[in-house]
Amino acid sequence: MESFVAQLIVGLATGGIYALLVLGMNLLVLVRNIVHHSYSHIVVLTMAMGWLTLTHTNGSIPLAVIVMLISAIIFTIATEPLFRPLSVRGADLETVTLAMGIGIIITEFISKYINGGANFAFPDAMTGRQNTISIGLISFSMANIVVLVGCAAAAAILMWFLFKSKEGRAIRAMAQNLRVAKMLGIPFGRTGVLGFGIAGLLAGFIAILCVMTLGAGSPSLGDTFAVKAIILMLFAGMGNMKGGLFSALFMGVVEAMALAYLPGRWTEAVFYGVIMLVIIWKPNGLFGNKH
Amino acid sequence: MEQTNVLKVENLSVYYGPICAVRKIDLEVNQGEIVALIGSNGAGKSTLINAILGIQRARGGTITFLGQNITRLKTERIVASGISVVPEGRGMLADMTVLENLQLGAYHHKGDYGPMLEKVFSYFPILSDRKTQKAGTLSGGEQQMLAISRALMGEPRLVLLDEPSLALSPAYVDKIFQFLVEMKKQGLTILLSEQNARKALQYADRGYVLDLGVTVMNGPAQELAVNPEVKRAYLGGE
Ligand SMILES: Nc1ncnc2c1ncn2[C@@H]1O[C@H](COP(=O)(O)OP(=O)(O)O)[C@@H](O)[C@H]1O
Ligand SMILES: [Mg+2]
Repeated sequence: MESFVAQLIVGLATGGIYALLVLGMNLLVLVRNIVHHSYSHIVVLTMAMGWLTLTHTNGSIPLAVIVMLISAIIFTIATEPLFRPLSVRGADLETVTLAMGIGIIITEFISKYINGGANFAFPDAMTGRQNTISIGLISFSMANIVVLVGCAAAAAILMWFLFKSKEGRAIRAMAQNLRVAKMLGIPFGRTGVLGFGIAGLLAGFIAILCVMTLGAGSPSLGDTFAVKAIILMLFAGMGNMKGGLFSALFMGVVEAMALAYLPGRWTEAVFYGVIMLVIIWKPNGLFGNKH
Repeated sequence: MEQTNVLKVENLSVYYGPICAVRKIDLEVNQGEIVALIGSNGAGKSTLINAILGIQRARGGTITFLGQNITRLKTERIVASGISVVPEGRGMLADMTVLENLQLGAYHHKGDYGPMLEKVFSYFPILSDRKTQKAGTLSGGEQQMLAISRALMGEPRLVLLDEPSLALSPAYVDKIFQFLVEMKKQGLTILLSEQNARKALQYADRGYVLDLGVTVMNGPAQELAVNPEVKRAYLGGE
């Protein structure tokens, strides 16, 4: 029982990170009707920027955090002009190709220039993994708790922005009917850049949480995240924010449980098995009516 | 006299690729007028309205709004400068609530849109009752009220309506036009397109008759309504 609770917390923390990845990508679905496959790669590139900052300065953590947030915003916004013409044309396949291309370039860059292609580990002071908390017989790392709270806060803020703020409303209007949104005078360019900027800020935050839970990044991490995120998006229904959130948390827990209780390395098989069943059973996603 | 001019369209041409949809049109809308664009399906009414709004780019000619040349402005600048639209087919954001649709209409409102919201709720109390409901669940007539209210939310100087009577029951058509006349009395300037020439000319001050992208006639609405050619072609009369 104790280990079950501990696993549940690990699972929710992992799921929380997947959830934020899915939220960020779904935000871009709303903003530009694109599947930004390389969003996860931007997160890992951001981790790499943090690592570079730590290794090339005197290891200042606040500085690394600031660099990560700023570079994530810059990287994400930098992709907006690339997607804009494709999004205007409604070129879905080209959009996917473009996004994958960006992902591959980022992965190549990291494997060439960051720690010679090896895993790039962060100091313990930044991960918080050495601090364990024990409640009775249950013990878990402080990092997992921080990640859980951080994910909940980020998700809540993003939802508030989308559903309660003026610009969030404009983004949802663009997603629903771009022509009408334009006729109402919603600025396509500016609102899009704002959406990319917010997705970028979120990417920076995800990168920080990844540093805390994983303790290291690697060139292949972007691909691993990207595949999971895109499948979770399909699972929940493209552009479905709330569905994506719950699916990701659920799959994080499934993954953690499989890791703890199934023999050998069945985690991935269970993860994709559950998702395949849902995709076959509900083609528009578990919560989806869009697309 | 020039001062009363809210909208002036000069020599405007709009193309879809090689196809000319609006050819060298001149048009004026004065302060506090209802001007009707009459024409059958495909005459170029929507194209003209979309060109004024900057949704469709003009190939030639100029559009002047309150003395400012808006021909090349982006739609968002045009809307911000005081033109709003009731799109053809109402343009509902069907999955968003009635209130959200109205709030989006106030996207460019410079100050507090609260009083304007109160005002449209007083015009159409049904919208207040339904404000948390999805716009797509409203009836056709209610959606048209919402589309018009949404266009008023930004407190525009000029409202463009693209076939407001489309797919509405006759009772609603009169209700909508009477409302527009009411708005006109409060100083709003209105340009609307209609296939329903009889109703449009009944309520409008002046009219332009469009055919295949050119204006074939224009004048005071009462004169057009009794013009033999208009009667034959658009009023099913004689
Ligand atoms: N998106 C478009 N692409 C090509 N041709 C168009 C397009 N929209 C309208 N047209 C053509 O332009 C002409 C005018 O259309 P429109 O302005 O919609 O007329 P109306 O609103 O008076 O019915 C028609 O011949 C129509 O076929
Ligand atoms: Mg039309």
